[in-house]
Amino acid sequence: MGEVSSMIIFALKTLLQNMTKKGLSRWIFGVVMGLITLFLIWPGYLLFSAAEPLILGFPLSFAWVIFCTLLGFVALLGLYLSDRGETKDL
Amino acid sequence: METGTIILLIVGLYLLVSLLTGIIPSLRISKSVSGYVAGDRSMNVFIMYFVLGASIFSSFAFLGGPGWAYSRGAAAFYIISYGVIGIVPLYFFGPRAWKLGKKYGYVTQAELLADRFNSKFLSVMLAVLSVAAFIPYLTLQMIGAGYVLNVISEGWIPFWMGAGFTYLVVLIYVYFSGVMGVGWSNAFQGMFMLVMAWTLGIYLPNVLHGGIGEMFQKIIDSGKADMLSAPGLNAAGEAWSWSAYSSAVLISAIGFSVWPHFFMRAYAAKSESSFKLSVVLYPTFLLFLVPILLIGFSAILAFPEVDQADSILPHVLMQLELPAIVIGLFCAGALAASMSSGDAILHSAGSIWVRDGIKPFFGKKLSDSAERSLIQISVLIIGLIAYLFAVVIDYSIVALLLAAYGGVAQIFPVVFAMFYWKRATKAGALAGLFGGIITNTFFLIYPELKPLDMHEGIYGLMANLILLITVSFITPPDPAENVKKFSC
Repeated sequence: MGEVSSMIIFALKTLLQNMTKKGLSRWIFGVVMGLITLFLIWPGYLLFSAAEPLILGFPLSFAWVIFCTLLGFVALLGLYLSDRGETKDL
Repeated sequence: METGTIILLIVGLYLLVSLLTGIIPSLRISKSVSGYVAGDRSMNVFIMYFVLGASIFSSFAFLGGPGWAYSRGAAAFYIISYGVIGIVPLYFFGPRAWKLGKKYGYVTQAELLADRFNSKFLSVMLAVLSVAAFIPYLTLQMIGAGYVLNVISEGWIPFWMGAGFTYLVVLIYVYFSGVMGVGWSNAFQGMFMLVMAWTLGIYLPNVLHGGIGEMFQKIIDSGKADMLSAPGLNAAGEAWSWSAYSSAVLISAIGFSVWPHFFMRAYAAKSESSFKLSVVLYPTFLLFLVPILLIGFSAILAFPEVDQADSILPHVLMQLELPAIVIGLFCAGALAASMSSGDAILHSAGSIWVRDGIKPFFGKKLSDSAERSLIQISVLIIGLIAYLFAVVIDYSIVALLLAAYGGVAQIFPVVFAMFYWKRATKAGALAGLFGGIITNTFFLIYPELKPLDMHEGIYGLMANLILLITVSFITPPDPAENVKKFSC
Protein backbone atom coordinates (compact mmCIF):
# COMPACT_ATOMS: atom_id res chain seq x y z
CA MET A 1 0.00 0.00 0.00
CA GLY A 2 2.74 2.40 1.08
CA GLU A 3 4.66 1.68 -2.10
CA VAL A 4 1.67 2.45 -4.30
CA SER A 5 0.96 5.75 -2.60
CA SER A 6 4.60 6.82 -2.79
CA MET A 7 4.57 5.99 -6.51
CA ILE A 8 1.44 8.10 -7.02
CA ILE A 9 3.02 10.98 -5.12
CA PHE A 10 6.19 10.67 -7.21
CA ALA A 11 4.17 10.64 -10.46
CA LEU A 12 2.20 13.72 -9.40
CA LYS A 13 5.39 15.55 -8.36
CA THR A 14 7.01 14.86 -11.72
CA LEU A 15 3.88 15.98 -13.52
CA LEU A 16 3.74 19.22 -11.53
CA GLN A 17 7.42 19.99 -12.04
CA ASN A 18 7.19 19.51 -15.78
CA MET A 19 4.13 21.64 -16.25
CA THR A 20 3.94 25.40 -16.63
CA LYS A 21 1.60 27.27 -14.35
CA LYS A 22 -0.72 27.95 -17.28
CA GLY A 23 -0.71 24.32 -18.35
CA LEU A 24 -1.54 23.19 -14.83
CA SER A 25 -4.45 25.56 -14.34
CA ARG A 26 -5.91 24.58 -17.73
CA TRP A 27 -5.49 20.93 -16.83
CA ILE A 28 -7.30 21.34 -13.51
CA PHE A 29 -10.03 23.36 -15.22
CA GLY A 30 -10.46 20.67 -17.86
CA VAL A 31 -10.86 17.95 -15.22
CA VAL A 32 -13.35 19.99 -13.18
CA MET A 33 -15.45 20.91 -16.23
CA GLY A 34 -15.31 17.31 -17.47
CA LEU A 35 -16.61 16.10 -14.12
CA ILE A 36 -19.35 18.74 -14.06
CA THR A 37 -20.49 17.64 -17.52
CA LEU A 38 -20.49 13.99 -16.52
CA PHE A 39 -22.45 14.71 -13.36
CA LEU A 40 -25.06 16.79 -15.17
CA ILE A 41 -25.98 13.97 -17.56
CA TRP A 42 -26.08 10.19 -17.49
CA PRO A 43 -24.42 8.43 -15.66
CA GLY A 44 -23.20 10.91 -12.98
CA TYR A 45 -26.54 12.68 -12.58
CA LEU A 46 -28.16 9.33 -11.67
CA LEU A 47 -26.65 9.68 -8.20
CA PHE A 48 -28.38 13.01 -7.62
CA SER A 49 -31.55 12.56 -9.65
CA ALA A 50 -34.00 11.89 -6.79
CA ALA A 51 -36.62 14.41 -5.68
CA GLU A 52 -35.75 13.93 -2.01
CA PRO A 53 -34.23 15.00 0.30
CA LEU A 54 -35.09 18.67 -0.05
CA ILE A 55 -31.97 20.82 0.25
CA LEU A 56 -32.65 24.40 1.40
CA GLY A 57 -36.18 23.77 0.16
CA PHE A 58 -35.12 22.56 -3.31
CA PRO A 59 -35.42 18.93 -4.51
CA LEU A 60 -32.03 17.18 -4.65
CA SER A 61 -32.19 17.01 -8.47
CA PHE A 62 -32.69 20.79 -8.69
CA ALA A 63 -30.21 21.71 -5.93
CA TRP A 64 -27.56 19.60 -7.70
CA VAL A 65 -27.94 21.49 -10.98
CA ILE A 66 -27.69 24.82 -9.15
CA PHE A 67 -24.61 23.59 -7.27
CA CYS A 68 -22.93 22.50 -10.54
CA THR A 69 -23.68 25.88 -12.11
CA LEU A 70 -22.03 27.65 -9.17
CA LEU A 71 -19.08 25.25 -9.32
CA GLY A 72 -18.73 25.97 -13.06
CA PHE A 73 -18.65 29.68 -12.26
CA VAL A 74 -15.92 29.17 -9.64
CA ALA A 75 -13.88 27.04 -12.08
CA LEU A 76 -14.14 29.68 -14.82
CA LEU A 77 -13.23 32.42 -12.36
CA GLY A 78 -10.20 30.44 -11.18
CA LEU A 79 -9.05 29.94 -14.77
CA TYR A 80 -9.53 33.63 -15.55
CA LEU A 81 -7.58 34.76 -12.49
CA SER A 82 -4.70 32.40 -13.24
CA ASP A 83 -4.67 33.51 -16.94
CA ARG A 84 -4.56 37.13 -15.83
CA GLY A 85 -1.68 36.46 -13.45
CA GLU A 86 0.18 34.84 -16.34
CA THR A 87 -0.25 37.83 -18.67
CA LYS A 88 0.89 40.25 -15.99
CA ASP A 89 4.08 38.28 -15.47
CA LEU A 90 5.04 38.75 -19.10
CA MET B 1 -56.98 55.06 -12.98
CA GLU B 2 -58.28 52.04 -14.83
CA THR B 3 -56.29 48.82 -14.79
CA GLY B 4 -55.90 48.75 -18.59
CA THR B 5 -54.60 52.30 -18.69
CA ILE B 6 -51.99 51.66 -15.99
CA ILE B 7 -50.71 48.55 -17.81
CA LEU B 8 -50.52 50.41 -21.11
CA LEU B 9 -48.70 53.32 -19.49
CA ILE B 10 -46.05 51.04 -18.00
CA VAL B 11 -45.58 49.13 -21.25
CA GLY B 12 -45.42 52.42 -23.19
CA LEU B 13 -42.83 53.81 -20.81
CA TYR B 14 -40.77 50.65 -21.07
CA LEU B 15 -40.84 50.79 -24.89
CA LEU B 16 -39.82 54.45 -24.84
CA VAL B 17 -36.81 53.77 -22.58
CA SER B 18 -35.84 50.82 -24.80
CA LEU B 19 -36.01 53.02 -27.86
CA LEU B 20 -33.88 55.75 -26.27
CA THR B 21 -31.24 53.39 -24.89
CA GLY B 22 -31.14 51.81 -28.34
CA ILE B 23 -30.86 55.03 -30.36
CA ILE B 24 -28.46 57.12 -28.28
CA PRO B 25 -25.34 54.92 -28.77
CA SER B 26 -25.55 55.44 -32.55
CA LEU B 27 -24.26 58.96 -31.98
CA ARG B 28 -20.92 57.69 -30.73
CA ILE B 29 -20.17 54.93 -33.24
CA SER B 30 -18.50 55.38 -36.61
CA LYS B 31 -20.62 55.12 -39.76
CA SER B 32 -18.55 52.16 -41.01
CA VAL B 33 -19.50 48.49 -41.37
CA SER B 34 -17.23 47.68 -38.44
CA GLY B 35 -19.09 50.29 -36.38
CA TYR B 36 -22.48 48.87 -37.29
CA VAL B 37 -21.63 45.17 -36.99
CA ALA B 38 -18.91 45.09 -34.31
CA GLY B 39 -19.42 48.43 -32.54
CA ASP B 40 -15.86 49.54 -33.47
CA ARG B 41 -14.69 46.77 -31.10
CA SER B 42 -15.47 48.90 -28.06
CA MET B 43 -17.88 46.95 -25.79
CA ASN B 44 -16.92 46.84 -22.13
CA VAL B 45 -17.63 44.04 -19.64
CA PHE B 46 -20.87 45.58 -18.39
CA ILE B 47 -22.52 45.73 -21.82
CA MET B 48 -21.01 42.43 -22.98
CA TYR B 49 -22.36 40.67 -19.87
CA PHE B 50 -25.91 41.68 -20.76
CA VAL B 51 -25.42 41.02 -24.47
CA LEU B 52 -24.31 37.46 -23.76
CA GLY B 53 -26.97 36.97 -21.09
CA ALA B 54 -30.03 38.71 -22.46
CA SER B 55 -29.70 37.74 -26.10
CA ILE B 56 -29.90 34.07 -25.12
CA PHE B 57 -32.93 34.41 -22.88
CA SER B 58 -35.76 34.98 -25.26
CA SER B 59 -39.54 34.80 -25.10
CA PHE B 60 -38.86 31.19 -24.31
CA ALA B 61 -37.51 32.17 -20.90
CA PHE B 62 -40.69 33.88 -19.71
CA LEU B 63 -43.20 31.62 -21.48
CA GLY B 64 -41.55 28.31 -22.40
CA GLY B 65 -39.37 27.93 -19.26
CA PRO B 66 -42.24 27.99 -16.74
CA GLY B 67 -44.24 25.89 -19.24
CA TRP B 68 -41.59 23.16 -19.19
CA ALA B 69 -41.37 23.12 -15.38
CA TYR B 70 -45.18 23.03 -15.17
CA SER B 71 -45.75 20.19 -17.63
CA ARG B 72 -42.45 18.25 -17.63
CA GLY B 73 -40.95 18.89 -14.17
CA ALA B 74 -37.26 18.05 -13.80
CA ALA B 75 -36.84 17.86 -17.60
CA ALA B 76 -36.66 21.65 -17.47
CA PHE B 77 -33.33 21.51 -15.58
CA TYR B 78 -31.67 20.72 -18.88
CA ILE B 79 -31.98 24.40 -19.83
CA ILE B 80 -29.71 25.38 -16.91
CA SER B 81 -27.32 22.45 -17.36
CA TYR B 82 -26.44 23.03 -20.98
CA GLY B 83 -25.72 26.73 -20.44
CA VAL B 84 -22.96 26.21 -17.90
CA ILE B 85 -21.27 23.58 -20.11
CA GLY B 86 -21.92 25.34 -23.38
CA ILE B 87 -20.38 28.68 -22.45
CA VAL B 88 -16.92 27.16 -21.81
CA PRO B 89 -15.71 26.83 -25.44
CA LEU B 90 -16.43 30.52 -25.93
CA TYR B 91 -13.78 31.32 -23.32
CA PHE B 92 -11.21 29.78 -25.67
CA PHE B 93 -12.72 30.62 -29.09
CA GLY B 94 -13.66 34.21 -28.27
CA PRO B 95 -10.20 35.72 -27.64
CA ARG B 96 -8.79 33.98 -30.74
CA ALA B 97 -11.61 35.28 -32.91
CA TRP B 98 -11.15 38.74 -31.37
CA LYS B 99 -7.40 38.82 -32.10
CA LEU B 100 -7.86 37.67 -35.69
CA GLY B 101 -10.77 40.07 -36.15
CA LYS B 102 -8.71 43.02 -34.99
CA LYS B 103 -5.82 42.05 -37.24
CA TYR B 104 -7.71 41.14 -40.42
CA GLY B 105 -11.00 43.03 -40.01
CA TYR B 106 -13.38 40.07 -39.58
CA VAL B 107 -16.80 40.77 -38.10
CA THR B 108 -18.65 37.46 -38.60
CA GLN B 109 -18.01 33.79 -37.86
CA ALA B 110 -18.22 32.66 -41.50
CA GLU B 111 -15.51 35.15 -42.53
CA LEU B 112 -13.04 33.38 -40.25
CA LEU B 113 -14.00 29.94 -41.54
CA ALA B 114 -14.11 30.98 -45.20
CA ASP B 115 -10.63 32.48 -44.90
CA ARG B 116 -9.04 29.56 -43.08
CA PHE B 117 -10.50 27.01 -45.48
CA ASN B 118 -10.26 29.33 -48.49
CA SER B 119 -13.86 28.73 -49.58
CA LYS B 120 -16.46 31.28 -50.64
CA PHE B 121 -18.91 28.43 -50.89
CA LEU B 122 -18.53 27.73 -47.15
CA SER B 123 -19.28 31.37 -46.41
CA VAL B 124 -22.44 31.41 -48.54
CA MET B 125 -23.58 28.09 -47.11
CA LEU B 126 -23.20 29.36 -43.55
CA ALA B 127 -25.07 32.55 -44.44
CA VAL B 128 -27.99 30.52 -45.78
CA LEU B 129 -27.96 28.20 -42.73
CA SER B 130 -27.87 31.19 -40.35
CA VAL B 131 -30.70 33.09 -41.99
CA ALA B 132 -32.78 29.89 -42.22
CA ALA B 133 -32.32 29.48 -38.45
CA PHE B 134 -32.77 33.18 -37.60
CA ILE B 135 -36.07 33.87 -39.35
CA PRO B 136 -38.12 31.28 -37.40
CA TYR B 137 -36.29 32.31 -34.23
CA LEU B 138 -37.23 35.94 -34.80
CA THR B 139 -40.80 34.97 -35.70
CA LEU B 140 -41.17 33.16 -32.38
CA GLN B 141 -39.98 36.27 -30.52
CA MET B 142 -42.61 38.35 -32.31
CA ILE B 143 -45.30 35.76 -31.56
CA GLY B 144 -44.26 35.88 -27.88
CA ALA B 145 -44.58 39.67 -27.73
CA GLY B 146 -47.91 39.76 -29.57
CA TYR B 147 -49.27 36.95 -27.44
CA VAL B 148 -48.39 38.50 -24.08
CA LEU B 149 -49.91 41.86 -24.96
CA ASN B 150 -53.02 40.16 -26.34
CA VAL B 151 -53.62 37.97 -23.27
CA ILE B 152 -52.90 40.64 -20.68
CA SER B 153 -55.09 43.24 -22.41
CA GLU B 154 -57.82 40.55 -22.55
CA GLY B 155 -57.93 40.73 -26.31
CA TRP B 156 -58.11 44.50 -26.43
CA ILE B 157 -54.75 44.77 -28.20
CA PRO B 158 -54.93 42.53 -31.29
CA PHE B 159 -52.05 40.15 -31.83
CA TRP B 160 -50.81 41.80 -35.04
CA MET B 161 -50.72 45.20 -33.37
CA GLY B 162 -48.83 44.04 -30.25
CA ALA B 163 -46.19 42.20 -32.25
CA GLY B 164 -46.02 44.95 -34.88
CA PHE B 165 -45.62 47.88 -32.52
CA THR B 166 -43.05 46.16 -30.29
CA TYR B 167 -40.92 45.17 -33.26
CA LEU B 168 -41.25 48.56 -34.90
CA VAL B 169 -39.36 49.89 -31.88
CA VAL B 170 -36.74 47.15 -32.26
CA LEU B 171 -36.44 47.77 -35.99
CA ILE B 172 -35.85 51.50 -35.45
CA TYR B 173 -32.98 51.12 -33.01
CA VAL B 174 -31.36 48.18 -34.80
CA TYR B 175 -31.59 50.10 -38.11
CA PHE B 176 -29.91 53.22 -36.75
CA SER B 177 -27.52 51.95 -34.08
CA GLY B 178 -26.48 48.45 -35.07
CA VAL B 179 -24.82 46.35 -32.44
CA MET B 180 -24.29 49.16 -29.93
CA GLY B 181 -28.03 49.80 -29.91
CA VAL B 182 -28.53 46.10 -29.28
CA GLY B 183 -25.93 46.25 -26.49
CA TRP B 184 -27.27 49.21 -24.55
CA SER B 185 -30.91 48.25 -24.89
CA ASN B 186 -30.01 44.69 -23.81
CA ALA B 187 -28.35 46.07 -20.67
CA PHE B 188 -31.57 47.87 -19.78
CA GLN B 189 -33.82 44.96 -20.80
CA GLY B 190 -31.55 42.42 -19.07
CA MET B 191 -31.64 44.20 -15.73
CA PHE B 192 -35.38 44.54 -16.03
CA MET B 193 -35.80 40.81 -16.77
CA LEU B 194 -33.57 39.80 -13.87
CA VAL B 195 -35.53 41.87 -11.37
CA MET B 196 -38.90 40.69 -12.67
CA ALA B 197 -37.89 37.01 -12.73
CA TRP B 198 -36.51 36.99 -9.19
CA THR B 199 -39.45 38.96 -7.85
CA LEU B 200 -42.08 36.69 -9.42
CA GLY B 201 -40.10 33.50 -8.75
CA ILE B 202 -39.98 34.20 -5.04
CA TYR B 203 -43.38 35.88 -4.76
CA LEU B 204 -45.53 33.21 -6.46
CA PRO B 205 -44.38 30.15 -4.41
CA ASN B 206 -44.85 32.25 -1.28
CA VAL B 207 -48.30 33.53 -2.03
CA LEU B 208 -49.57 30.21 -3.45
CA HIS B 209 -47.87 27.73 -1.10
CA GLY B 210 -46.22 29.63 1.78
CA GLY B 211 -42.64 29.16 0.58
CA ILE B 212 -40.36 27.33 -1.85
CA GLY B 213 -39.69 24.32 0.43
CA GLU B 214 -43.38 24.02 1.28
CA MET B 215 -44.25 24.11 -2.41
CA PHE B 216 -41.90 21.23 -3.31
CA GLN B 217 -42.99 19.23 -0.24
CA LYS B 218 -46.62 19.58 -1.32
CA ILE B 219 -45.77 18.39 -4.85
CA ILE B 220 -44.00 15.33 -3.41
CA ASP B 221 -46.85 14.61 -0.94
CA SER B 222 -49.42 14.80 -3.73
CA GLY B 223 -47.79 11.76 -5.38
CA LYS B 224 -45.98 13.72 -8.08
CA ALA B 225 -42.45 13.03 -6.80
CA ASP B 226 -41.62 11.38 -10.14
CA MET B 227 -41.98 14.70 -11.82
CA LEU B 228 -39.26 16.20 -9.64
CA SER B 229 -36.74 13.42 -10.08
CA ALA B 230 -34.49 13.76 -13.11
CA PRO B 231 -34.85 13.43 -16.06
CA GLY B 232 -38.53 14.35 -15.55
CA LEU B 233 -41.26 13.78 -18.12
CA ASN B 234 -41.39 13.88 -21.92
CA ALA B 235 -43.86 15.89 -23.98
CA ALA B 236 -46.45 13.08 -23.66
CA GLY B 237 -46.23 13.16 -19.84
CA GLU B 238 -44.40 9.84 -19.53
CA ALA B 239 -40.96 9.34 -17.95
CA TRP B 240 -38.27 10.89 -20.18
CA SER B 241 -35.36 8.60 -21.11
CA TRP B 242 -31.84 9.28 -19.83
CA SER B 243 -30.43 9.04 -23.34
CA ALA B 244 -32.84 11.67 -24.65
CA TYR B 245 -32.19 13.98 -21.68
CA SER B 246 -28.41 13.62 -21.80
CA SER B 247 -28.20 14.05 -25.55
CA ALA B 248 -30.44 17.13 -25.38
CA VAL B 249 -28.03 18.67 -22.83
CA LEU B 250 -24.99 17.75 -24.93
CA ILE B 251 -26.26 18.89 -28.32
CA SER B 252 -27.52 22.20 -26.94
CA ALA B 253 -24.22 22.74 -25.10
CA ILE B 254 -22.19 22.00 -28.24
CA GLY B 255 -24.32 24.24 -30.43
CA PHE B 256 -24.44 27.05 -27.87
CA SER B 257 -21.00 28.63 -28.42
CA VAL B 258 -21.19 28.52 -32.23
CA TRP B 259 -24.60 30.13 -32.78
CA PRO B 260 -23.47 32.75 -35.33
CA HIS B 261 -25.12 35.72 -33.57
CA PHE B 262 -23.56 34.70 -30.26
CA PHE B 263 -20.09 33.87 -31.58
CA MET B 264 -19.75 37.13 -33.50
CA ARG B 265 -20.14 39.21 -30.33
CA ALA B 266 -16.52 38.35 -29.56
CA TYR B 267 -15.52 40.88 -32.24
CA ALA B 268 -17.39 43.66 -30.48
CA ALA B 269 -15.40 43.31 -27.23
CA LYS B 270 -13.05 46.08 -26.16
CA SER B 271 -10.26 43.64 -25.32
CA GLU B 272 -9.55 39.96 -25.00
CA SER B 273 -9.79 40.03 -21.24
CA SER B 274 -13.06 41.98 -21.17
CA PHE B 275 -14.61 39.27 -23.33
CA LYS B 276 -13.16 36.51 -21.16
CA LEU B 277 -14.51 38.14 -18.01
CA SER B 278 -17.99 38.44 -19.55
CA VAL B 279 -17.90 34.71 -20.32
CA VAL B 280 -16.75 33.94 -16.76
CA LEU B 281 -19.65 35.93 -15.31
CA TYR B 282 -22.21 34.28 -17.59
CA PRO B 283 -23.26 31.52 -15.13
CA THR B 284 -24.45 34.22 -12.72
CA PHE B 285 -26.92 35.33 -15.40
CA LEU B 286 -27.88 31.71 -16.01
CA LEU B 287 -29.12 31.38 -12.43
CA PHE B 288 -31.94 33.67 -13.48
CA LEU B 289 -33.58 30.51 -14.83
CA VAL B 290 -34.00 29.24 -11.26
CA PRO B 291 -36.83 31.67 -10.37
CA ILE B 292 -38.26 31.22 -13.88
CA LEU B 293 -38.65 27.49 -13.26
CA LEU B 294 -40.03 28.14 -9.75
CA ILE B 295 -42.86 30.07 -11.40
CA GLY B 296 -43.81 26.95 -13.37
CA PHE B 297 -43.52 24.66 -10.34
CA SER B 298 -45.73 26.97 -8.29
CA ALA B 299 -48.61 26.38 -10.71
CA ILE B 300 -48.52 22.55 -10.75
CA LEU B 301 -50.85 22.14 -7.78
CA ALA B 302 -52.45 25.57 -7.78
CA PHE B 303 -53.69 25.47 -11.41
CA PRO B 304 -53.62 21.83 -12.52
CA GLU B 305 -55.92 22.10 -15.53
CA VAL B 306 -54.09 24.41 -17.92
CA ASP B 307 -53.75 22.72 -21.32
CA GLN B 308 -51.44 25.15 -22.99
CA ALA B 309 -48.34 24.93 -20.77
CA ASP B 310 -46.65 27.92 -22.45
CA SER B 311 -49.41 30.23 -21.25
CA ILE B 312 -49.02 29.22 -17.60
CA LEU B 313 -47.39 32.46 -16.40
CA PRO B 314 -49.90 34.92 -17.91
CA HIS B 315 -52.63 32.51 -16.76
CA VAL B 316 -51.43 32.56 -13.14
CA LEU B 317 -51.04 36.34 -13.16
CA MET B 318 -54.56 36.86 -14.47
CA GLN B 319 -56.03 34.52 -11.82
CA LEU B 320 -54.33 36.15 -8.85
CA GLU B 321 -55.95 39.58 -9.22
CA LEU B 322 -52.67 41.35 -8.75
CA PRO B 323 -52.33 45.14 -8.73
CA ALA B 324 -52.26 46.59 -12.26
CA ILE B 325 -48.74 47.88 -11.71
CA VAL B 326 -47.39 44.34 -11.17
CA ILE B 327 -49.12 43.01 -14.29
CA GLY B 328 -47.78 45.97 -16.29
CA LEU B 329 -44.25 45.31 -15.05
CA PHE B 330 -44.56 41.63 -15.91
CA CYS B 331 -45.74 42.54 -19.39
CA ALA B 332 -42.75 44.80 -19.87
CA GLY B 333 -40.47 42.04 -18.53
CA ALA B 334 -41.82 39.54 -21.05
CA LEU B 335 -41.41 42.09 -23.84
CA ALA B 336 -37.84 42.71 -22.67
CA ALA B 337 -37.10 39.00 -22.95
CA SER B 338 -38.55 38.88 -26.45
CA MET B 339 -36.90 42.08 -27.66
CA SER B 340 -33.43 41.46 -26.23
CA SER B 341 -33.17 38.28 -28.31
CA GLY B 342 -35.11 39.61 -31.27
CA ASP B 343 -32.86 42.64 -31.73
CA ALA B 344 -29.65 40.58 -31.55
CA ILE B 345 -30.97 38.09 -34.10
CA LEU B 346 -32.31 40.76 -36.42
CA HIS B 347 -29.01 42.60 -36.37
CA SER B 348 -26.96 39.44 -36.97
CA ALA B 349 -29.26 38.14 -39.69
CA GLY B 350 -28.85 41.36 -41.70
CA SER B 351 -25.11 41.52 -41.11
CA ILE B 352 -24.44 37.88 -41.92
CA TRP B 353 -26.67 37.87 -44.98
CA VAL B 354 -24.79 40.75 -46.60
CA ARG B 355 -21.31 40.10 -45.29
CA ASP B 356 -21.19 36.33 -45.86
CA GLY B 357 -23.94 35.71 -48.39
CA ILE B 358 -23.74 38.65 -50.83
CA LYS B 359 -20.33 40.28 -50.42
CA PRO B 360 -18.28 37.26 -51.61
CA PHE B 361 -19.81 37.81 -55.07
CA PHE B 362 -18.80 41.46 -55.22
CA GLY B 363 -15.31 41.37 -53.74
CA LYS B 364 -13.81 44.83 -53.28
CA LYS B 365 -16.30 46.47 -55.62
CA LEU B 366 -18.69 47.00 -52.71
CA SER B 367 -17.77 50.19 -50.83
CA ASP B 368 -17.95 50.33 -47.03
CA SER B 369 -20.86 52.78 -46.99
CA ALA B 370 -22.77 50.81 -49.63
CA GLU B 371 -22.26 47.65 -47.61
CA ARG B 372 -23.55 49.30 -44.47
CA SER B 373 -26.66 50.56 -46.27
CA LEU B 374 -27.21 47.12 -47.72
CA ILE B 375 -27.05 45.59 -44.23
CA GLN B 376 -29.57 48.15 -42.95
CA ILE B 377 -31.94 47.37 -45.83
CA SER B 378 -31.54 43.63 -45.17
CA VAL B 379 -32.45 44.22 -41.52
CA LEU B 380 -35.71 45.84 -42.65
CA ILE B 381 -36.52 43.08 -45.13
CA ILE B 382 -35.74 40.21 -42.74
CA GLY B 383 -37.78 41.92 -40.00
CA LEU B 384 -40.71 42.20 -42.40
CA ILE B 385 -40.49 38.55 -43.52
CA ALA B 386 -40.42 37.33 -39.89
CA TYR B 387 -43.41 39.58 -39.09
CA LEU B 388 -45.41 38.16 -41.99
CA PHE B 389 -44.70 34.64 -40.72
CA ALA B 390 -45.73 35.74 -37.21
CA VAL B 391 -49.05 37.17 -38.34
CA VAL B 392 -49.89 34.17 -40.47
CA ILE B 393 -48.73 31.92 -37.55
CA ASP B 394 -47.70 28.81 -39.28
CA TYR B 395 -46.82 26.28 -36.60
CA SER B 396 -44.41 24.44 -38.87
CA ILE B 397 -42.08 27.31 -38.04
CA VAL B 398 -41.41 25.71 -34.65
CA ALA B 399 -40.27 22.56 -36.45
CA LEU B 400 -37.93 24.65 -38.56
CA LEU B 401 -36.34 26.07 -35.43
CA LEU B 402 -35.88 22.64 -33.89
CA ALA B 403 -34.17 21.49 -37.07
CA ALA B 404 -31.92 24.53 -36.87
CA TYR B 405 -30.70 23.65 -33.36
CA GLY B 406 -29.19 20.35 -34.50
CA GLY B 407 -27.95 22.03 -37.68
CA VAL B 408 -26.13 24.86 -35.90
CA ALA B 409 -24.32 22.37 -33.64
CA GLN B 410 -22.70 20.98 -36.80
CA ILE B 411 -20.62 24.18 -37.04
CA PHE B 412 -18.77 23.29 -33.81
CA PRO B 413 -16.28 20.67 -35.16
CA VAL B 414 -15.30 22.99 -38.02
CA VAL B 415 -14.73 25.95 -35.70
CA PHE B 416 -12.73 23.74 -33.33
CA ALA B 417 -10.60 22.39 -36.20
CA MET B 418 -10.00 25.92 -37.50
CA PHE B 419 -8.33 26.94 -34.25
CA TYR B 420 -6.78 23.70 -33.04
CA TRP B 421 -6.24 21.23 -35.89
CA LYS B 422 -3.72 22.31 -38.50
CA ARG B 423 -4.20 19.24 -40.66
CA ALA B 424 -7.90 20.00 -41.29
CA THR B 425 -8.51 20.73 -44.98
CA LYS B 426 -11.08 22.57 -47.04
CA ALA B 427 -12.54 19.33 -48.38
CA GLY B 428 -12.68 17.86 -44.88
CA ALA B 429 -14.46 20.90 -43.46
CA LEU B 430 -17.04 20.98 -46.26
CA ALA B 431 -17.63 17.22 -46.11
CA GLY B 432 -18.03 17.29 -42.32
CA LEU B 433 -20.43 20.24 -42.28
CA PHE B 434 -22.51 18.91 -45.17
CA GLY B 435 -22.57 15.34 -43.89
CA GLY B 436 -23.52 16.52 -40.41
CA ILE B 437 -26.39 18.70 -41.59
CA ILE B 438 -27.75 16.01 -43.93
CA THR B 439 -27.60 13.30 -41.22
CA ASN B 440 -29.24 15.62 -38.69
CA THR B 441 -32.05 16.51 -41.08
CA PHE B 442 -32.53 12.88 -42.09
CA PHE B 443 -33.12 11.70 -38.51
CA LEU B 444 -35.30 14.72 -37.82
CA ILE B 445 -37.61 13.66 -40.65
CA TYR B 446 -37.41 9.91 -39.87
CA PRO B 447 -37.06 9.70 -36.06
CA GLU B 448 -38.22 6.06 -36.08
CA LEU B 449 -34.98 5.05 -37.84
CA LYS B 450 -32.75 6.24 -34.97
CA PRO B 451 -30.80 3.32 -33.43
CA LEU B 452 -31.06 4.91 -29.95
CA ASP B 453 -33.43 7.52 -28.53
CA MET B 454 -30.94 10.37 -28.82
CA HIS B 455 -31.15 13.88 -30.29
CA GLU B 456 -30.66 13.76 -34.08
CA GLY B 457 -27.88 16.35 -33.77
CA ILE B 458 -25.71 13.74 -32.02
CA TYR B 459 -25.95 11.46 -35.07
CA GLY B 460 -25.14 14.46 -37.23
CA LEU B 461 -22.04 15.16 -35.13
CA MET B 462 -20.84 11.56 -35.44
CA ALA B 463 -21.08 11.70 -39.26
CA ASN B 464 -19.54 15.17 -39.19
CA LEU B 465 -16.48 14.11 -37.16
CA ILE B 466 -15.85 10.95 -39.18
CA LEU B 467 -16.01 12.88 -42.47
CA LEU B 468 -13.97 15.85 -41.20
CA ILE B 469 -11.16 13.59 -40.01
CA THR B 470 -11.00 11.02 -42.82
CA VAL B 471 -11.48 13.46 -45.72
CA SER B 472 -8.87 15.81 -44.20
CA PHE B 473 -6.34 12.99 -44.00
CA ILE B 474 -6.88 11.75 -47.55
CA THR B 475 -6.64 15.24 -49.09
CA PRO B 476 -3.38 17.23 -49.28
CA PRO B 477 -2.83 19.75 -46.41
CA ASP B 478 -4.07 23.34 -46.87
CA PRO B 479 -1.41 26.00 -47.76
CA ALA B 480 0.90 26.50 -44.75
CA GLU B 481 0.63 30.32 -44.62
CA ASN B 482 -3.15 30.10 -44.38
CA VAL B 483 -3.01 27.57 -41.54
CA LYS B 484 -0.33 29.49 -39.65
CA LYS B 485 -2.39 32.66 -39.63
CA PHE B 486 -5.04 30.87 -37.57
CA SER B 487 -2.97 28.97 -35.03
CA CYS B 488 -2.22 31.93 -32.82
